Amino acid sequence: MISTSIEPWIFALLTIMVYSYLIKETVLYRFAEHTIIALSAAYVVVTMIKNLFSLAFVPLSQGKYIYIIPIVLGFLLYSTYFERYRFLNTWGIAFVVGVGIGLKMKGIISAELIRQVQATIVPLNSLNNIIVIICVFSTMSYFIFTREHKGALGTFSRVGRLAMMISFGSAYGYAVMTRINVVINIISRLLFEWLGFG
Amino acid sequence: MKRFLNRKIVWLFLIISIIYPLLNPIGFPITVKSHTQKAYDSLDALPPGGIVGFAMETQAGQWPETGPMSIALLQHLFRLPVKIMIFTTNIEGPLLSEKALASIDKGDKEYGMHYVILPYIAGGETGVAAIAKGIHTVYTEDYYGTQLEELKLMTEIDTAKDIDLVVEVTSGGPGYVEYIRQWNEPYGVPLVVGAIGVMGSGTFPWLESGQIVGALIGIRGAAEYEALIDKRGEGTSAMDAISATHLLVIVAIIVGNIKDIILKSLKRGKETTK
Repeated sequence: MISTSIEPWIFALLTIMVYSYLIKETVLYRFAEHTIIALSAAYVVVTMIKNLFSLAFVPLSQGKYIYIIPIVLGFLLYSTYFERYRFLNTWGIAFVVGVGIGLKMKGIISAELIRQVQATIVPLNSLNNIIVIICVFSTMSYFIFTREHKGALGTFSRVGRLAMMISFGSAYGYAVMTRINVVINIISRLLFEWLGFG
Repeated sequence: MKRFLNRKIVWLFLIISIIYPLLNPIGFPITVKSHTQKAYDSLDALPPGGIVGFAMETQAGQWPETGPMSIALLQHLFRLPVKIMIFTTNIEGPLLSEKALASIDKGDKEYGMHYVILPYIAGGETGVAAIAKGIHTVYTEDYYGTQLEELKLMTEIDTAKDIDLVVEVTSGGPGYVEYIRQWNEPYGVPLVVGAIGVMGSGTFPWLESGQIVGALIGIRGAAEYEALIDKRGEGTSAMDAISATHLLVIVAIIVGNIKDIILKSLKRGKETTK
């Protein structure tokens, strides 16, 4: 029995409008696209303003004057719209980029470099460990550009290329699963929630 | 060059391979992979009264994949004697958290006492780090506007050190690497990840190193977890269609390669006759 509530109908109509793109870029497709963008933009703006009040202005009103610094730096980003004061926005950007890089650097060395190298130093007591070691070193050898890939290095780097291809193949398989799952979810909702099958 | 197959025909085959198993479930067996089992065991091993941070780092566009795994993970957590703090640095996170909570049986857990939803925090990795360093310096109120001091659960949490385990459901940024950098490495909080399929193969080095203790990968991970908690959901019902469509992709790859080989040999034959 086809659904009588409004939500599945809106979902179904927007879905059909979007899929009309398979024929060509239709007006219906554009309408659906613009609707989704407008809704997302409105939601983001409202949430951000709410966030700004609860995280910055409310603590400031409670006497936490340190919050003046991020508020001022944030507003300086808008100076980009005034040619004469445009240079001021670099202060805000510099702060954001500086904090971001500092935080990342703190974690990268220990979490990504040292721990990952430690995890690669494994005893050669199982087939899995042997494969890990061969794949790591052969892949690294593929990126040696100071020597010509001939002889033993050429063979070993080809093993590395094979290892990378297997890795990319696995990633591709997962990517296919993700994309197809979105379609499955849409068709499933159309069949069961809108058209009332099952 | 003319296309071998019109994309509309490919879409037609794809839609048939999805609709048929959805209407006539085949019931392919679901085997649980070790990383999904490890995720289940990590949650099951939590001490009574333990606190779990549930990072809902996903978006509506990826909900078909992250939704079923969020629901399965939250359902398991709500059956355990633990407390759950749901937080996010993703703008759609709080809405999706509410959506997931509406789909589960909450048992006797009470809002504020056993679980809390915190609002969206901007800043990506900077936000993730700030929450770990001092939750009360970042948040003053929950998603519904209640002051944190009025919520009993939030009086028990100050920094990441008070959290026994972080479960992150992610569809991109911030991903598991940001949580490893800002939660696992400096505070030693174990991390369970629920990632979309595209991110799946990237989790394996971290699983090997123990920086991620368990992982649910894609819709298959959700289906496996649903089998573990004995609750059939969207993950399980999508698996037949996933298997059928993957079969179609494999056939398409084989057909495409055979066509390529035939065309090349025909071209070579023409060149030799000249």
